[in-house]
Formats: sequence, structure tokens, C-alpha cells
Amino acid sequence: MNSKGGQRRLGRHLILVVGAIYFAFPFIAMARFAFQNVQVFNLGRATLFDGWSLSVVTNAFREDYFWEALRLSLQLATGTALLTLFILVPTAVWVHLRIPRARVIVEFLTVLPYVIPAIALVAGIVVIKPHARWFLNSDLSLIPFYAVLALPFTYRSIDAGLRAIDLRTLTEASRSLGAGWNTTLMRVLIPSLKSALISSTFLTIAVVLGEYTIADVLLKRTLPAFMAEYRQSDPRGGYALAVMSLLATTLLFAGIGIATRSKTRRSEVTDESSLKMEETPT
Amino acid sequence: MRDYVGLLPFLAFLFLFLLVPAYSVFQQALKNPDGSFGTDAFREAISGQNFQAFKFSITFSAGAAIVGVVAGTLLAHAASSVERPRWIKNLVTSFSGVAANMGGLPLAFMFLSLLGRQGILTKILEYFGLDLYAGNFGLGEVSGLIVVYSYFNIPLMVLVTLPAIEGLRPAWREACVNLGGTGFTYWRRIGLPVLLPSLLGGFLLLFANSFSAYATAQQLTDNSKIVPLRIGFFLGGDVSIGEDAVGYGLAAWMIIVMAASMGAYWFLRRRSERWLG
Amino acid sequence: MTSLSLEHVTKTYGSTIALNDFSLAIESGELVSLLGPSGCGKTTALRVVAGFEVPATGSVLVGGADVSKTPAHRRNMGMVFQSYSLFPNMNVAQNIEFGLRTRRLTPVERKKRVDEALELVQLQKQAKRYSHQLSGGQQQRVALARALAIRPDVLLLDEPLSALDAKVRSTLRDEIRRIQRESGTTAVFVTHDQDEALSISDRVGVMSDGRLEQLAAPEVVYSNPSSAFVARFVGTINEVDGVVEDGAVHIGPYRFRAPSPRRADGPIKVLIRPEHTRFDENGFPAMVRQSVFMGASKIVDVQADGLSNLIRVQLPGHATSPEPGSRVLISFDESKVLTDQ
Repeated sequence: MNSKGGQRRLGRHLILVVGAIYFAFPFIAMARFAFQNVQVFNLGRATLFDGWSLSVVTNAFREDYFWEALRLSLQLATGTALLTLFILVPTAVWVHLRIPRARVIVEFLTVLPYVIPAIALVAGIVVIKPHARWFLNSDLSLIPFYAVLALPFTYRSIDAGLRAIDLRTLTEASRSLGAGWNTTLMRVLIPSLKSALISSTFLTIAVVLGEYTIADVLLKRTLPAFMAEYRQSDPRGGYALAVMSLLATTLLFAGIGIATRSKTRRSEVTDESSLKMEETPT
Repeated sequence: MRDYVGLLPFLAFLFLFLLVPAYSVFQQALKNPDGSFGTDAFREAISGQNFQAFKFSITFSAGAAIVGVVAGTLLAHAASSVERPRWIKNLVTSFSGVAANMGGLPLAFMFLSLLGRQGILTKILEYFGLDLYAGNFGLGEVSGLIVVYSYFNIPLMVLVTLPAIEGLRPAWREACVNLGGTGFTYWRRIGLPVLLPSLLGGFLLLFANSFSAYATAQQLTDNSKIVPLRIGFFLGGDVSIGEDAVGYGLAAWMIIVMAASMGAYWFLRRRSERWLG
Repeated sequence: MTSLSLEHVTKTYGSTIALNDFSLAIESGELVSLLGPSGCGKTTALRVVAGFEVPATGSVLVGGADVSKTPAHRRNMGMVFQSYSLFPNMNVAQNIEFGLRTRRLTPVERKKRVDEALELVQLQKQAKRYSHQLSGGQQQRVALARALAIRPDVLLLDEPLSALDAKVRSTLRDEIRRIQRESGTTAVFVTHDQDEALSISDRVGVMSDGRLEQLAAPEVVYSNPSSAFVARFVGTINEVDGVVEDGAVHIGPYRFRAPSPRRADGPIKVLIRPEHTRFDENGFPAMVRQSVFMGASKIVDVQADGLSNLIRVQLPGHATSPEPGSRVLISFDESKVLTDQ
């Protein structure tokens, strides 16, 4: 019985190791290509440590276009995050408190963006463009569409946060102690939802910084668009930027992981032990 | 009823920025060159070369989905059952979160530098006598696309399937063993049947994901048999007036395929929640 | 109709000792409860019998035959788990049939046994239902039927009532006992609830820290606990700090002769059950702190002069309640005193 269990365990560890290799290898290949100035056919044990430098990245930083693109992408990320919070948090709270029966419908609606993927969405935007040039000419008009793309993830995050805090009880307790809606929202609900809000914001940022389809078709000069263009003239530079972008996304997700670490610590005081605490010798 | 008023901002937002564009796609697809209603473009969008494109896209998407389902389930099962070290499961989940949302350019670059004609793995295989490009392989062909898309499909499957696998109660396996069944009996009669809706749902999700991906494909290849790329070419504007309706037809059919997949996925997910909840 | 015994079983998890040289002998047709606090090893013992855990040392014998090396799926034991053990993708009848299919019984034989099992637990009308359509009590009855359908040598029950509502718990408890008696199946029942253990068992095994403290009939475990742990765990008991001097026990200003065997001088804990204390005109003075009516009995907490702990006195329900604050005289039955040094 033990040997079979041992075999099983070995098999599982093997799967994890193979998985790790499969996922690490492409990234390593890209980083190597970006940062090591050695052609692949020249690569051998002798040249393994030659030609490493970060100059590709610094070269990219010298492009004006890079800073413009970065600025635009950051603006879009901020705008999308704010728009998302402004629309989704009150909506989610409203649904939880007033119309719990509608939760299924709302959940369904938040999955709709999957049905209309980015390329189809941008096709529709192109159709509308002549009629709404005043709006769509601005680069910032991407914001609501990005919010739509991020919707399935951000709504699920906020919804999960609400479900974890027993919204109804907290709200009723707050109102019964005399707080109005604004106070309740600002001093009770939002602080309790901190981790859900942080993770949905980080998710939005990750989506915006990586979104290429809509920006490409609409010829907006965001960071990913810059990456693609720069790669044509300097492939190693383009790849280096991709490495940075991946690292940034990983940091964002690490941040999400930290923010959503389980905060429920079971109370360490049991009822029995607290009774003992109260029994004092007379 | 008045309570639904609170949903107005959200509904308005969805309407303006999701439904209106979607509707416009269909509206434009169902137009004749003279502007009247007509299904010519709509039908042309799935015939001839366009049909070949759909066939191609569906094929590689299904292939990538199958690989994702099998590998993802194995990985999720391995991650959830490995007890030591404890941080493995968290690491797998976190990484899957990152990798599943990856797509776009970094993914394309990664595989260009790994399996492209000048890729490092290509060169390594050459060293061992294997010419990767001898046969039909190409990053823009079915084989290449399956390899590349598996990179985000597998983590996505892990994320979606992990809760289902953890929903398999240990008591079921122990009861099965206690009543005379082996591990094999358990998977055959209880484990897999219970997981089946999740697995099918996962397949559909992965399929939809692969079918609709644009950014990665665009950087990897200019293969116009990939439907999102094809739509992109039409939107790019090197198309004469009147032909652009076909482009919108492609987009409309894409939405239909996605709607069918996601609809089935939604149905299956509710089914599996009933058993594992 | 088989006996069951564990002999010198030791099981460790890393540095924790779950079972410490644990031995237990159960006779054919007996229902023995394993009772104890969480972590005492009772569930581990059950899982060792079932074959889900392999002990470091010791053996398991069923009907005299050593099954220690037999894998779990060949041990012919029926187990009822705490909850959620019914297979969700099968209905009630299919669940019950499962163990019969693995034993390759003919369809005719299988149907017969499934019908028997359904009748045993009175769920004939629910045969086609699925577990999510059944209540907690019904699910456990199906689990019981499923375990018994295979005609097991031993029936193992792992806290089967803990997840149920109080009302359902007591009816199901009696049903389990009735069915076990009627079928004459040897059974091991793990629980942390002493009422359960005392009411349904032929014998009760009280466990603590991986060891068996006492194995005896319920009445014996209750009135003649073999150790202070058993006395404290089963039923309620008063505990007073005292001192031994010259063979007599002093609690506060009072003294009485120490029960045999002779105790060493030094501090000692004196244990006496509430029902062995009484109001007695020859007793110690005390002041009433609180009096609670429990229906069949009355519980009066008193503060004896010179003693720091409260003493709980149990009276019949119809006795007059002394007012809180009033002075009374109490004493106890010295022959029923237990001590712990």
C-alpha cells in the first residue's frame, strides 16, 4: 500500500516539475534573446555568459514615443480602474441589498463580454465611428471599452468581496447605530472591501496594460502598440519590453494575492477557556 | 420593481459600450452594397475561403482546448493533492492567474524566441538532428498555434477546474474503497462522472478563448485563415466598398460561435455546481 | 458475526502520537463506542480498522484472522462517515448497490439486497432520489443502508450524528442501535458526545491521548470511573482542591477519611458528582449562590465556607429550592469520592 502511494506521489511531483519547465522555458528563451547579444547559432557553452546587457531597454527608453505610450497607457489604466469602481461597486452593493434575486441575471450580464470578444467589439466601434467622431477621436475614449473587457474579472472580484463580508448585517448594524448611507459606505463598507477593491483595480491595470487588439485596429498609441512597432525596428528591444511587461503583470498579480490573503483568523479564544477566565476565586 | 432602478447606470453602460457595437456589427453585416437589408454578405462570410478560415480556426481552437483540458486537469489534480510543501498549491494558483490573463504580445514573443525559425529550442532540436520545420510545422499553423495557445489555456483550465477538483469530497473516495472499489473504480464511476460537466465547460471556455484571440496571432503570423486576423484585415481598410460587409459578417458569425460556446458553458457550469456545491 | 480486536497499535503523524500502544477487543455482535475529546485518537483507531491508515506497529484481527496486511477495499467492513459520503451522481438505490456491484453479485441478488436495505431504513419511497434531494437524516440512513447491504463483518461509524439537528440525532441514534441489534453486526461507534455513547453502547471505551482509559459498560464507566480523566469527561463532577495528611483528606477546614488505597501526603484533587451531594443537617455550612430548575432535577450551586470552588448539588426536581443567599448544610457520600493526585 505504501509503495503505491509513493508511486502516485512521485507521478504528481513529476507533473508539477514538467509543468514548471514548460512554463519557464519560453520566458527564459525570450529574456535571453532580449538581453544577450549573441546569435542563436553562435550560442554554445563558451559564449553562454557573453553579451548580457540591459542596453536594449535603455535604448527603448530613449524613444519619445515610449514615454507618450506609457503615459497614455497609465492614463487609460487609471481611468478604467476608476470608472469600473464607480459603476460596479454601487451596482454590486445595490444588487446584494435590494434585489438578491437579480444576482443571477447580473452575473450573466457580466459574462457577456466573453461573447463579444475584443476583435468583434472593435469591429462594432469602427461601424459607429463616423457617427461619434467627437468621442472616438480622443484616445481616452478607450476607457469605457476597456472597462467592458475587464468586466467579467472585476465584477467577480467585487462580488466575492461582498459575499465574504455579510453585507446586510454590517449595513443594518451601521444604520441602526445612526449612520447615513454615505457614512456607511465610506466608513464601514469600503474599508471592509479593501482587498476586493485592490484586486479588481490591479486586474484592470493588468488588462489595460496588455490590451492590444482594440488599440491596434483603432490606431491608438498605447504601450502594447508601441511594443509591436518597436519590435519591427529593434526586435531585441521589443522583446525586452515584453519581459518588463510580464514582470510588471506578475507584480500586479502578486499584489492581488497578498491583498486577498485569507483574513479570517478563527477566534483563538474558545467559549470554554473564556469561561475559565471569568471564574475568579472568591 | 422599482428596485431595479439602481441597475440603470450599469445597464446603460453595458448598452452603450457593449450592446450598441455588437448590434452595429450585425446591422452592417446584413446590408447589401446599396444599403438595403440583405443576407448576401452574411452568407458569403461563411463560404469559400471564409468557410476554410472558420474550419481552420475551429480546428486549432478545438485542438488547443483539448490539450488544455487534459494537461490542465492533470496539473490541477497534482497541485491539489500534493500536500508537502504547502505553498505549491498557492504558487500554482497564483501563476495560473498571471498566465491565464497573459496573451497578447509577450506570449507571441516568447514562442517566437523559443520555436521560431531562429528560436533557441529549434536550434537545440537541430543539434539533435530534428528539423522542426521539415514537415507542416509553423507557428501560424495548427500545430504551432496549439502549442502556443496551450500556454494560456492550461493555466485557465487549472483556475477553472481547481475548485471542482477540490469539491470532490474525500469521503467519496473512502466510501468507494470501503465498499470494495479500487482507485480506478473511483475515478471511473464517481470522480470523472462528477467532474464531467466541469471538464466539458472548461473545454468550451478554452475553445472560445482560443477562437477569439487576436493579439498573439497577429504577432506570430499573417495567416489569414485565423478568423480574428481575417476580421482585422478587413477592418484594416485595404478593402473595396461593399466588401466590408463581409468583414462584418465574419465578425457576426464569430459572435454567434462565441455565443453558442458560452451558452453551453454557462449551462454546464450551473449543472456542476449542483453536484459539487 | 465476527469479533474485532486491535493489538498494540501505534500510529504517529510526524511528531504527533495519535495512537499509543492501543489495544481493544470487541466481541461478536457488540456495539462499542469510542468516546473522547478531539485529538484523542478515536477516529484514527477507526480508520486503522478500516484500513485507511497503516499503523507503525500492531495488528488488526477480524474473527481471529489478521487483516493488517489486507488493503482497505478487501476488508469487508461497512463504514458510515460523518457527512457527505453519498455519491452525488447516483441515486439512493444506486448508492446502496455500489458495494454489491464491486462484489459482482448478480442483478437479481443485488435488487433483493437493495430492497432489503431500503426496508431496513424505511426509505423505500426515496429509492430514485439523489443525495441533494434528501435531508441530513435521510442521507445518513442511506449511508447506513449502503454499509449494511454488503453484510459486513464489522460496521464502523465515524461520528455519524454530529452533523445533524438535535431532534433528528436522537431518533436516528435509536434506529442505528435497533438495526445493529437486529442484524447482530459487530460495530464500532466513534463520538465525542457522551450521551450518545452511554445510551447506545454495550460497552464504552473512553480514550485520551491515544490510549484507552477505560473500557466497560456505560453504567460502570459512569459510576465507577477508573481515572480522574474518565470521571471528568463522562458526566459532570465537582472538583475541590485538598491536601492529604496522615491518611486523611482535608478540604479547607473539613476532613474525611481518604478512600483506599492509601494516598501519599501532599496536594490532591477531590472529585464528587452532584448527585452524590446532598443537603444534610450534619454537614458543612455553605451559602446558596444559585438555583436552577432543570425539569427532572434541580441544580443548586453553593459556596461552602472555607472552600474556594463552588460545589454543585443535585436535587430531585420537586425538592424545595433554597433562596440564593440563604445558608444551608451540605455533605456528600464519602464512598463515591474520587481523587486525583
